[in-house]
Amino acid sequence: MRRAIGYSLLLFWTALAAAVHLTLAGFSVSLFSGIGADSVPTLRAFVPDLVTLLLVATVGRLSRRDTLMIALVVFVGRSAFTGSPPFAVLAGTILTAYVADTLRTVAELDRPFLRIVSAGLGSLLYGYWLVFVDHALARESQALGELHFGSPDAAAVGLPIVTAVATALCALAFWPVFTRLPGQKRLERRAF
Amino acid sequence: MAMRGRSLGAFIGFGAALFALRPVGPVERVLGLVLLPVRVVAPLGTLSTPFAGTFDEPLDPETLAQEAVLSLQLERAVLRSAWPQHSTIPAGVVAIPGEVDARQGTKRDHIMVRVRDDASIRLDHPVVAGDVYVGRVERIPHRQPAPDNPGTFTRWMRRLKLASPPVRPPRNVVEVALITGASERVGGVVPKDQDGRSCRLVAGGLSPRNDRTWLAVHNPESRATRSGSVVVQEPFSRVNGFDSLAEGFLIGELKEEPYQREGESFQRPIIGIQPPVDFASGLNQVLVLTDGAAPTSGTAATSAATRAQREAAGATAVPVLESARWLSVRLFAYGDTAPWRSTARLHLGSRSGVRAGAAVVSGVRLAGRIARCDEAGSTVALVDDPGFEVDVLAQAISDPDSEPLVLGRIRSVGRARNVIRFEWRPEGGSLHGEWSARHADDDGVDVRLWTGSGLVATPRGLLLGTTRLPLELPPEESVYLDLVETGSVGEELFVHAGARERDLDSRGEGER
Repeated sequence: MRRAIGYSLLLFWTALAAAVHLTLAGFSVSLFSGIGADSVPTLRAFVPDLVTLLLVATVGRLSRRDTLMIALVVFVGRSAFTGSPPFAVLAGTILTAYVADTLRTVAELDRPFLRIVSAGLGSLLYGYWLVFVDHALARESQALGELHFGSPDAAAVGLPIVTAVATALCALAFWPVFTRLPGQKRLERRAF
Repeated sequence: MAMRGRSLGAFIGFGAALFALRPVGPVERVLGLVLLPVRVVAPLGTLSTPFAGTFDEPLDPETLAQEAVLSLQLERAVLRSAWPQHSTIPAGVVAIPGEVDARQGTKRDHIMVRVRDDASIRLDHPVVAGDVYVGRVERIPHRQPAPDNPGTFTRWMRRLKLASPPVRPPRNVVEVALITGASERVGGVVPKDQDGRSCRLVAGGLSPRNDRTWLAVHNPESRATRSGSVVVQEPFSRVNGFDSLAEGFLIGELKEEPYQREGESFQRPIIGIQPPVDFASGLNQVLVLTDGAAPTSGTAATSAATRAQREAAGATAVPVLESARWLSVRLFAYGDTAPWRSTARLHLGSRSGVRAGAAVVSGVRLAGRIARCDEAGSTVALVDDPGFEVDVLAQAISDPDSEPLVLGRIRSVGRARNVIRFEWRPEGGSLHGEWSARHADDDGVDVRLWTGSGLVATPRGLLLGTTRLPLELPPEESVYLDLVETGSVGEELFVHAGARERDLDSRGEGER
C-alpha cells in the first residue's frame, strides 16, 4: 500500500512536470514571438525536459531494483502529454532510466558533474530516439501512402542538443527539488 | 534481483522499440486500453491551454459567417469544375457527378469516388474531370465485397474486441483506375500536330521519365508527330468497352524532350503526354459518364446543354459544416514535450466516433487533424506541426466565385514569426500559369487555400489560410507559401466524427 501510494504520487509528479514543461514552452513562445523570434521549435527546445530530469533524479535516489518500475510509471505519465507513438515513449523512457542506472554504478548521481551528465545524456538520448522514430515512420508512411503526422525536418536534428543543455543546467540548479518530492520516501527500501 | 530487473527492462525496452518502428494495430490498442485508467492525470495539462492560439487574432462571428459563405462559394465552383467547358457530353450519355474520396493504401493509380447513386454505373464506364479524361470504373466495392475467412487467431482477436471484421463497403462508392496505371490504355488522337496532320495513338501508363508525370504513348500512327493536344478517340467501342462515351475529352499535351535515363551516359528523346491534372492529389470532383439513358429528342449533344448542366451543378452544394457530424471538443493540453512537434490533446476519443485523420476546426478554419486517438482522448496535429500535409485548392480573393486552382499537396515546415510556412512542389501539368494570369493584380495572386478532396475524415472546403501565390514558379523547385489567418486552437473547436446519422443509409460512413 505504502509503495502503491508512492508510485501514484510519482505518476502525479510526472504528469505535473510534463504539464509545467508544456506551460513553460507556451509561455516562452508567447513571450519571445512578439520580438520576432524566427523559429518556434527552437524556443520550445530551450525549455528543459523536466520529465527526464524527474526520472533521472528518482532513479538516482531509489534502489536499483526499482528502476524498471520507475521507468514504467514515468512513461505512463509522460505518454498523456505527447503526440509521439506510445511505444516510442516507452522505449525512450526505459533507455533513459537504464542510462542513469548505469551511471550511478560509477558514483552517486547527487554530485554536480554526474547530475549534469545523467540529465543531459538522458534528455539527449530520449530526444534523438524520438527524432529517429518520427523520421523512420514518416519515410515508411510516405512509401506506403499511409496517414502520418510529425516528420522532423533538418532543423529538428539540433533541437535535442539544445534541450539536453537546458536540462543539464536545470539539473545543476534544481536537482534537490526533484529528489525531495513528497512521496519518494515511501519508495525507499531499507538497506538491511 | 537488480540484474533480473535489468533483463526484464531490456526485454520490454527492445520490444517497445520494435513496436515503435513497426506499429501493430491490435498491440497499440492493448496499450491504449492499459493506459486508459491513468488518463486521469491528463487534465493537469490544462495549465498550458491559456497559451493556445498565442499567435492568432481572435475570430469574431462576422468573420466566421463570411468564411462559411466563402466555403460554400468554393464548393459551388468545385462542383461546376467537374463539368466540361470545351468538350461536349454526347447525347444519351448521363454524367454522374462524384467526389473523390480517400485513397486506399498503396493503390496510387486508383481513386475512390463517392457518387449520389451508383445504380446506373457499370464497370469500364469512363471518368472525366472537367475536359480531361482521367480513367475508368474498375470496381464497385459493395457489389463485390471481399470474402471474410478469419483464422483462429483473428477470431480470438475479434472476440476480445482487439480486431474488427472487415468494414462493409459503403454503397455509392466506386473505384476508378486512373490512366496512369501500368496496364491502363485508351485510344487517342492528335487532331493537329506540329505539321497540321492528325495522328492516332494509344495512351496509358507512365512514360519512363522519373522527374515528371507524363503518360506513355504506345503505337503512334506516325513517329513524326511530336506535339499537339491528344484527345480520346475510340473508334472500336465494341472492343474497348465504354471509352467511346468520353470521345473528344482531353488526355493531355503531346511532348518530346531529351532525357537521360538512369544508368545511361547519353540523352535520348522521350515522347509522352503531359496531363493537365495532378493525378496524385489534384482530383476533387469528377463525372462518371454512363450510357444510362437512350437519347431523346430533347437531349441533343450541344455544348449549350453541357454548359447549362455545368451551371446547375453548383446549386446542389452543401455547406461543409452541415455535410458531416461535428462534435464540440475541449482542449486538455496544448503543446508537446517533443519541441519539434506542435500538437494538442483533446477530451474526445474513438468512443465518440473520432478517428485518425479527422479534421479539427474553428469555424470553417482547419486547426489540425487527429494524429492518434484512444477510447477517451485524442492527439491533434496542428497545422504548424512539421510534416502536416494536406491537399489544397486556391481560391482567388478577388474573385471567389471563379474556378479554383488545384495546388495539390502542400506540407507544413513549421511556424516562423506569425506565419505558418508550407512547402509546395508544383506538378508539371499545373494550370498555375494561365490561372494566375487571369487573377494576378501585380506580381502575384492573393488567395485563400482550402482543403481539397481525398483526405481521410477531412472534408473539402475547410480554410487553411490566406497567402500570395507568385506569378513565376521556379522550375523543378519547391515554393514556400507563408500562410496567415490560419485556424486556431484558442477558439471554440469542433472535431469531425463521421457522417451524419441521417446520411448513413444513403451515403455511407465517411461522407465528406
